[in-house]
Amino acid sequence: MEEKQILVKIRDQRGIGEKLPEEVKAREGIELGEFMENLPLPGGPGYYTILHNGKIAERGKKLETGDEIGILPLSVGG
Amino acid sequence: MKTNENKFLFVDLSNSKIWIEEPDPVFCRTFLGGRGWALPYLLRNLKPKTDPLSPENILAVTTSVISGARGPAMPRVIVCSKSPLTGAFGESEAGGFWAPGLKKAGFGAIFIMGKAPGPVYIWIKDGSVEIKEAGHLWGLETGETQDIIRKELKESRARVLQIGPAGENGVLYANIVNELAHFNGRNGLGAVMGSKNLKAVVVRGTGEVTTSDPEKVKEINTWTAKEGIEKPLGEILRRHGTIPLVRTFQEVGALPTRNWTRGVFSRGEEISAENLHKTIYIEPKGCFSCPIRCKRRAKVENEKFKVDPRFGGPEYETIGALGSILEVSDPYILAKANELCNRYALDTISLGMTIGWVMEAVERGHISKEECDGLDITFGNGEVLIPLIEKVVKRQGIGEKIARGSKRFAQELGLEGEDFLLEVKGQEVPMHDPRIKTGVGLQYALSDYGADHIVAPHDTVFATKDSPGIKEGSMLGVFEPVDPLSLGPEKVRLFYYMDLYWSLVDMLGFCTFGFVPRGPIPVEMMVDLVKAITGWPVSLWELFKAAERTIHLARIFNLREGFTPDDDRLPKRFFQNFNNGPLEGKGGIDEEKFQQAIHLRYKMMGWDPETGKPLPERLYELGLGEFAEKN
Repeated sequence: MEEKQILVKIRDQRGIGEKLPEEVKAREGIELGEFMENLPLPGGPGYYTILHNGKIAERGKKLETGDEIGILPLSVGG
Repeated sequence: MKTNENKFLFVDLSNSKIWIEEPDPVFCRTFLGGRGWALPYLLRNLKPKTDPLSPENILAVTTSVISGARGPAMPRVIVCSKSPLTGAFGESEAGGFWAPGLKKAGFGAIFIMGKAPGPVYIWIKDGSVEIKEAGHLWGLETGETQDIIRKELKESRARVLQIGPAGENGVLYANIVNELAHFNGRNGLGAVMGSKNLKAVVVRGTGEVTTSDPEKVKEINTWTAKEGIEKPLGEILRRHGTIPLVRTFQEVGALPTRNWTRGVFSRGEEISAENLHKTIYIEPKGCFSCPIRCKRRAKVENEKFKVDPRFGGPEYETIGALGSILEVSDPYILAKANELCNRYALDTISLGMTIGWVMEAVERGHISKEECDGLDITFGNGEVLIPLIEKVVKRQGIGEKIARGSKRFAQELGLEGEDFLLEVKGQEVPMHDPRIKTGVGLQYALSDYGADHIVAPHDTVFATKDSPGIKEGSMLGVFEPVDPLSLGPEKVRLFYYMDLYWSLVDMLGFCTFGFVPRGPIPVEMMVDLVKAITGWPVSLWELFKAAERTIHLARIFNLREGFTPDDDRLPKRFFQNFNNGPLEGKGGIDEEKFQQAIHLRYKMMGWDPETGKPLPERLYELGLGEFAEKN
């Protein structure tokens, strides 16, 4: 059976590395944590602040088509 | 000359007496440097309740057992004294080039006491020490002072650690600065220096600091320069400094705005990293032997303002305190205000937060326009910053009141119980909202030297299994993620461990941005650097014990000054919910849980849970029996 896909918008605000594509396809029902782990982020998603539709992301939340993921620098102090 | 000596220099400015002592190597290893070297001396020689601005106060300007060697991210000079802002133990670290200079000149620390009859500076060159007259420098801003000193000494590479007019005039949050752009900020230690008529401490060391294993130091340097700076935390700092935090906090909904009444600044885009790079920043500069080069520099040449990059550029804390806190978004005004603060050596966090308090007091009708000397001190009016800074430094009109900090101003008007005063132990809070990072809240409350963001755990780096604190920081003993919003035992434990770790980083003169989990260099390399430079077979356990000693000694210092558990608190506003943005209606910290966390931390430390006093058995375990008997 063919797997259904969703389209997730990416807003890459890291300011470093190669800019991520503005839209990424993923399988329907994917959780945010797994989705993030599949993105080519140096260090991994834990090195960034991740927003899901403008709010602090929850890893276990299921993504839907049109959802927006914001990726920003991590708050390390300073 | 080759050296790795930690000789202590003593200067009594009242009678121009200078002497040198060689500390026991066991003492050096047990206390490492920084506050570790300063606190035992202060506790033995500074009488409790001493006026911080009296000749009796002691200023300790220190390095560490590893300073001056060419390792990465280890440039800092650590200044300790009794703080005039808080009345508590005061401490501050600055990067730059001065600490290596002192070490190369053959000294590990300087203890300065007394008061010179007139302005002086101390000149140290390769082991020789001289007190020189500085009447011609008094009143000058920092750039002019550095230029004149270098010229008259005929030493273009002399490193000048100095105060500006803010310190001379006793502004209670005056800074000390080296190389015009590296600040010992917070705590007002510049005012202590000013109270001693001490304009500067100038060093020139032509020696080379020896290391036990130069190959190992070289290997760590090479790794940092090639691989470390390419790691995400290193790369962000190198490319953008700390300023990307503006956007992160703005989008999360926790950018300190309008004296912390809001978490989103409507004109936040204007103070974003992108816009500041477009408008005011030029290429960055670094500190001694550090490839990360995170320090920003600002240059402006327009019809209204000229900003000289010699004085650095505004970092995140300054953009928060003078920008979003006051709802000022003009990058040029912020660059100029920052430059003025730096020329005068004035702490931008305390200044911005005190002005923010005044703006809210004006808005609430507690202060009239006449009392503001006719100035329009209202949120959003950036134009007022420039004349206000001048008034603060000269202590004129309302500037005199702002120069003493927000707590004293509030007390004068009977407003210290109001929710718009945001300070701890008299020090204004920095620009990290504890409502999204409760560990930062614990640090604000528990810090020896008032609200501080440096030694805090910054919970976000331990939030998930792939966060840097968990993924790369296993040597620190935290293996499971900790919820940034929790206040349970796991958070208190995290706070306890990170308090040790960041205190250690400060004591050794390392930069907090150099090492995991805030920077790229692994914890094991930190231990390797100490081993390779000193030749001592130290472990992280031994180093943590040194840090733990100082946390206890600072606690004893404050208890004898009259501080109690009531001072380990958080400003009221952080128990309230956010008023706008994505976190609107949420975020207020649970006050009861917060108090429980404070008490749990006392117990974990081996302190009396009611009085917060270190128990004798803990002090004996740490080898601090002398202080157990006096405590």
